[in-house]
Amino acid sequence: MNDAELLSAISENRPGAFDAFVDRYGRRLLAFGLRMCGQREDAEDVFQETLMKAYQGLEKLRDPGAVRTWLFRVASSQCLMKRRKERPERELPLEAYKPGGVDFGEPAAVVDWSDGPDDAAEQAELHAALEGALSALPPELRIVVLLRDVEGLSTQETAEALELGVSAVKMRLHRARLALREHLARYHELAA
Amino acid sequence: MTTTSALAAMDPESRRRFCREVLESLSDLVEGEAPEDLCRRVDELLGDCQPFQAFRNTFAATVELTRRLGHGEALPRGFDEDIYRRCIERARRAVGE
Repeated sequence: MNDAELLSAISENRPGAFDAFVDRYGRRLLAFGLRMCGQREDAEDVFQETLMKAYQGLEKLRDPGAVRTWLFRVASSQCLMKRRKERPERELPLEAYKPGGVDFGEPAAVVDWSDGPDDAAEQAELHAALEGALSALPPELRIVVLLRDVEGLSTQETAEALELGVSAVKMRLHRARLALREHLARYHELAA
Repeated sequence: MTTTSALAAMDPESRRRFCREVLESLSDLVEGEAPEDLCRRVDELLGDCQPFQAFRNTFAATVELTRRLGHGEALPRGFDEDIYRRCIERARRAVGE
């Protein structure tokens, strides 16, 4: 069942329609909430709130192409509300993630670790390092990279979900990716 | 380390400015969305520059690894099926389903 069929089944109140919707999106929404909030209890709250809003609001949605964006807009808004309530005191400003000066002509070695490990244990470690790098990003950058790269929303969909301009999404995504690369580069240096 | 002769021939300020422009456009470059003129200059000036190639490769690898996080359908660490189903039930009850 695609999203259009799913939406039509939900709006017609067909038995099992909402279960099929939860099967499709539930685990992704929970993982998104956990990566955004960092705490299990908060992720559960975000997941439940998003499902409740979906129960109440999905049947009114007319555009099947907008289901995923709508869902992640609701989940993002829940996550950001939680973050605002529990904002940590020490958090770097977004400006700290602006790309610094670089000169590829300067004699500074850049190690190419792009091939990645073959060994399953090393792959798991790298995966954990990346999850750690994501959790260290400020929420304004993390939410963009989660929606765009992890969840696969387009730049336009991400902008709509977060009520941001396309250029702001692109700028935040790029800064997030650079910060993640730096984190993984340090991980590879330490592992070498 | 290898620096292309074209890059080395640039004055340091122009070189830094160009490298900065490339760094800021790296997402567009790896996704094939950078302007044609920039792609051409990158090929000419950084085509055989090892530090740049390593930087671009590792940047692209980071993006790919991040995308792969979204490929799995497993529950996140710390959650099991029981917790997951309980969350769904609580949401159902809250809306009177």
